[in-house]
Amino acid sequence: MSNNKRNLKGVKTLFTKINKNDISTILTVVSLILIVIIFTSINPRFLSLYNIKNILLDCAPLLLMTIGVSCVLFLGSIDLSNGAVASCSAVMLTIMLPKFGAVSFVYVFFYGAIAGLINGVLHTKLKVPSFIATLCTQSIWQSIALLIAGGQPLSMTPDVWPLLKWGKFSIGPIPFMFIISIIFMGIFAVIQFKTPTGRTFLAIGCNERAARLIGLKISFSKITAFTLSGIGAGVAGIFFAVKLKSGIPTVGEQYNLMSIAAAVLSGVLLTGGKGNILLTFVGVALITAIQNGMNVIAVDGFWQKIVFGLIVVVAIYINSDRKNFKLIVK
Amino acid sequence: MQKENILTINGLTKQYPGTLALSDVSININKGEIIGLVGENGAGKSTLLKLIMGLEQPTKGDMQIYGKKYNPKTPLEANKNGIGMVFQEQSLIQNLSVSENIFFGREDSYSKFGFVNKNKMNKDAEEVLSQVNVSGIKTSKKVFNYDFATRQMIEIAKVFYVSQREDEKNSIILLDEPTSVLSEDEVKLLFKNIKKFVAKGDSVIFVSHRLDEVLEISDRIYVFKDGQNVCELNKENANENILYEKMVGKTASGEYYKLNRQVTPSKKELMKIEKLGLKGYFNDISFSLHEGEVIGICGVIGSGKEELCEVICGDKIPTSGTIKIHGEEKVSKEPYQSLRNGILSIPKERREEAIIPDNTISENISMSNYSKIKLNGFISKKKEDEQAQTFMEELNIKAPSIFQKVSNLSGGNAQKVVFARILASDAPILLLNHPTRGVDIGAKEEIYSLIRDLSEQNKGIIVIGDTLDESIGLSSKILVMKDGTLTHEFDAPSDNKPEQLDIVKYMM
Amino acid sequence: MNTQNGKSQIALEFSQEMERINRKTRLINTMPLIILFVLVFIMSVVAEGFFSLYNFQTILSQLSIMLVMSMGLTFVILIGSIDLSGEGLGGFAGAVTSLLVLNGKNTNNFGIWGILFVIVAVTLIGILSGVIHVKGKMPSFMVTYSISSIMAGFAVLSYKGQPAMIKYPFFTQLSQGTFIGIPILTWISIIVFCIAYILQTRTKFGTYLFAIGDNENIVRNTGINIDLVKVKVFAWSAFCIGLAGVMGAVRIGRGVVDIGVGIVFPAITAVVVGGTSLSGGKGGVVNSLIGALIVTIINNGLILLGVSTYIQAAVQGIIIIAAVALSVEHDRKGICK
Repeated sequence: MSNNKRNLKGVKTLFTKINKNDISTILTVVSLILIVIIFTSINPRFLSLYNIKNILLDCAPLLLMTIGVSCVLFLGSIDLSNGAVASCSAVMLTIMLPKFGAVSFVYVFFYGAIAGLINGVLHTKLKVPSFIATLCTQSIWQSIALLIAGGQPLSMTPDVWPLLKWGKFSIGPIPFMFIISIIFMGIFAVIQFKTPTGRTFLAIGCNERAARLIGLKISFSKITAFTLSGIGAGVAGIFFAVKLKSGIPTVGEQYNLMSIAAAVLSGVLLTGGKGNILLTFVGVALITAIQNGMNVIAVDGFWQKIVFGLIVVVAIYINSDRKNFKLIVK
Repeated sequence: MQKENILTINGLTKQYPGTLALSDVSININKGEIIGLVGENGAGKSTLLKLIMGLEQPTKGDMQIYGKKYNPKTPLEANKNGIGMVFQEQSLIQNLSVSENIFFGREDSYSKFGFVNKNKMNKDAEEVLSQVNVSGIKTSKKVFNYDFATRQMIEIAKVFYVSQREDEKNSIILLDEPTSVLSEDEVKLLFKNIKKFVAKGDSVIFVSHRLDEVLEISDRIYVFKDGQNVCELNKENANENILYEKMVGKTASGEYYKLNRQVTPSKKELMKIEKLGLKGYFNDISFSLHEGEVIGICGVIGSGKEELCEVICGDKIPTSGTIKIHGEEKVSKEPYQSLRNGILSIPKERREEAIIPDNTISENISMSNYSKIKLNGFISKKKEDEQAQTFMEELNIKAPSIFQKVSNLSGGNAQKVVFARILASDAPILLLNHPTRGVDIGAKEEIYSLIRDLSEQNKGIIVIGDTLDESIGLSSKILVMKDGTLTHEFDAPSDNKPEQLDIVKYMM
Repeated sequence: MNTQNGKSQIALEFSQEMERINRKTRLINTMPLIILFVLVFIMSVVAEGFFSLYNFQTILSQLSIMLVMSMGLTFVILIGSIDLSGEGLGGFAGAVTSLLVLNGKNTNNFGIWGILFVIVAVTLIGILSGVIHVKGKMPSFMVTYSISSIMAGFAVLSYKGQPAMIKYPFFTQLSQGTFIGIPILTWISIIVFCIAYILQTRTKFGTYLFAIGDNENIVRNTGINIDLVKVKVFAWSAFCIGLAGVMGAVRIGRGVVDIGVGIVFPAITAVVVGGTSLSGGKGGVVNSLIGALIVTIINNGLILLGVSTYIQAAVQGIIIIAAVALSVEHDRKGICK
């Protein structure tokens, strides 16, 4: 009897030791393993070298968008526009490549940065809540993408194909695009951990009032976070265009919710103040595995919308603070 | 003549972590009385009101209303027992009409098939309002159309209405600093209304820092000090001097504040403040801060001292005047700009304003100055941890490791982390707003000697003490503020400290 | 003597500050109406054919769905939350309606009962998102954003890629019919407006909306069940979305998920432009009616001027940001996420 009790207590302390916020990361890793096992048993091709390469290729743009949106989520803000920015940059690249050649990549990169910068400025300088500011810019960039493309997907002409060759490179099963996105993740991680601005992200999310009085640069850090999100989306748009050899004006649409889902799954708190750029990879891997797995076992595409929506709700539910009854959530 | 007793409070005690806010308070309130509550900041007045209203629960002691046990858990319960409170910040909903506000939460008595009869409500509201003498209120108009004083009258009328008892016995109304932003005419009107209620047998508890007003209106006055009710005075026996004397706390020994280490300030001026003002809070403040000097700012809540601090540290932008540092005028719109100019503050609310609770001790310490721990332009984790380790030992911070989250530390240790951050920042001008708030005695003494260390290092310090005694003990100069102006300046060398009584006279 | 001066000075400055805030509130309350008049004036000068009976009918017809949507959103925004589920939920309502009434895809013919069923189902989903928001302590924008995605998925799932053509004659009557020169769909939206107006001004529910948006703590201290009020608000919003989705199906005649695309954004624009504050507690359905008229007239004018329809959404985005930025209190201590 007493032995039983002690065991129970031991289990209990073990659980209390696992910080509530780490639960989601652990759950994500566990579900990633489960998903891989399930999909492989349904269709063994899931773990083939060819499919792994596919998964990594699918990972690349989502990882870029997720590390970007994570920076914004660290603040406790949100960026709903990154999907539209990605679409717009894909369309822009398609239009620009024949005219400007390889420099277009640089232009589009800066477009992404500026789109993010605009979000940051609207939010910090005009004091527009981030979800509404980015909802508006999402609408604006989406309109512009449709306007440029004339509402139709634009194909790239064969004369610019040589410029897209790098998209096919790979080292063994590891695609070049994936390596680029990992490099970006490294850069973002250095910003998060090794620069005062990046350190300020989490401080703002955790306690903005204190961060301000401590003497941290609030506005600058916020604008930087939004800019990083814009950069992630812009480069993701380049990847979309290169991979598909075309500019589809709605290509990034569903990636907005997916990137938020990936971030939340990796343990990023929607209320801000908690998260790790390097861990977002776990969330991205899970989301991509689910997506790819559903394709491999031939599940209809619209199920994905349902699944990702549910994942976001469940993941946020696990992370949210429900004990604090005085907490007002709007 | 023995008056009927309404509320009896017996040995009420409230213990917060680290501080005893209220200790063994017993008072009673009779029918048709106006009770004045006076005391310094933190003497326990607001805590008492919160307990009576059911906003907080007492640690010990009990209350009785009309001889029945009274232990409210919510303000609603307090209302039902005939107790209502007019809060300092108004609690009317701006975009609802006057009548909707008065009958808020009681719409059911005006509802038929779910529809509220607004006409009847407006009429009844007029009746409620006729209790207070304010002309020209249209009950169907939205509240935001009226000025602050009128809204306050509406709120008082509402509070009287909602705290009517079912058995129609008399009620008690708590007024917390109702006059702080009223003009003299408005105060007169308020008093007239209070007296009207009292004439009907209701009672009022009146809390104010304005002794003249308390003396004018109260029948009895309770004086609070350090969480205790130190004396009870009838109107006839009270005057300002007696109240001052009773309010001031006991003086601690010079050793406690390390007076032997008090530095005589140098002649070198660090910061000069000229005609500084913030509209609606304070005006025309001028003083200068020298190297090694500790300036204490004293004043009651609402005197503008907190806002003055906020302006100096860059949290608020002054509406007039200038801040000069080393003779050069500096303008800062954000605290980080002030920090660049060499000013850093320890804010009053540690949990909300001074620490990032989910970050480690090590990260918190380095936040105000990253340049020290950089290597090749990037933050060096190694340097950061070394710095934190040094401060842990130097300031005797008790924690398992420097990687502990600050949210897990006790008040005293968390405050030491804040001090470590301030030390690491190298800022020459420091604003310490309640540096020992919620800190145990041992840690308090360590913080006092830290402050002495800082002034020995020629830093200029401005301090708002947790108690008046603390301000006097720590400072070499004392500025007294009242109603947004500087009323007096005391020199406070270690061998000739001013008396608390003298300072209080300029505060209230 | 000095102190008396100090006191009256502070009291004076304080009342000046209050007066300034009141003036701003009044300005924000009257501004939308002024903008509406100015807009009508500009359009009648610039856009040829603006002042015609035909165009007025067009405007009223364009107004209908947006007005219904904004009636639901107004209440949600009044309590300081937001409902972004319209896109998926509206699409779902439209798609499922088309499958339940007489259509070219299956043999269902439930007629009016089908419509009722859809609206009830959508309202239940609204209750669900309200409960998740309130009990799960999750931000409303995130819950409803996810719900939108989920329901869009279900909408496509319901017709499996091939949307149904509606053959129900009643729908044709609804979409083309007019009553005293005003389209039937517009009449429906006017009825919804009246219901919303009565709810807002004549019931305690309406009173609580403003109070929750203004200061939740006061409401809690009064002992009101805030969670219940909030869930009701989300149910009402979903009801409006459901109705708007059905109206969309009526207009298009086909049950595609795209019915929901682009119905949320104009509605938010209408609510915000009308002067309902995103932080809650200010505004109301009359403001939203004015806002909806403003947005409709801008869209109508853009069409008359031959501007691409893609630009409309972009223009609305800019309008929202401008309206929010102008109406926000620039309180430096206020933290905005």
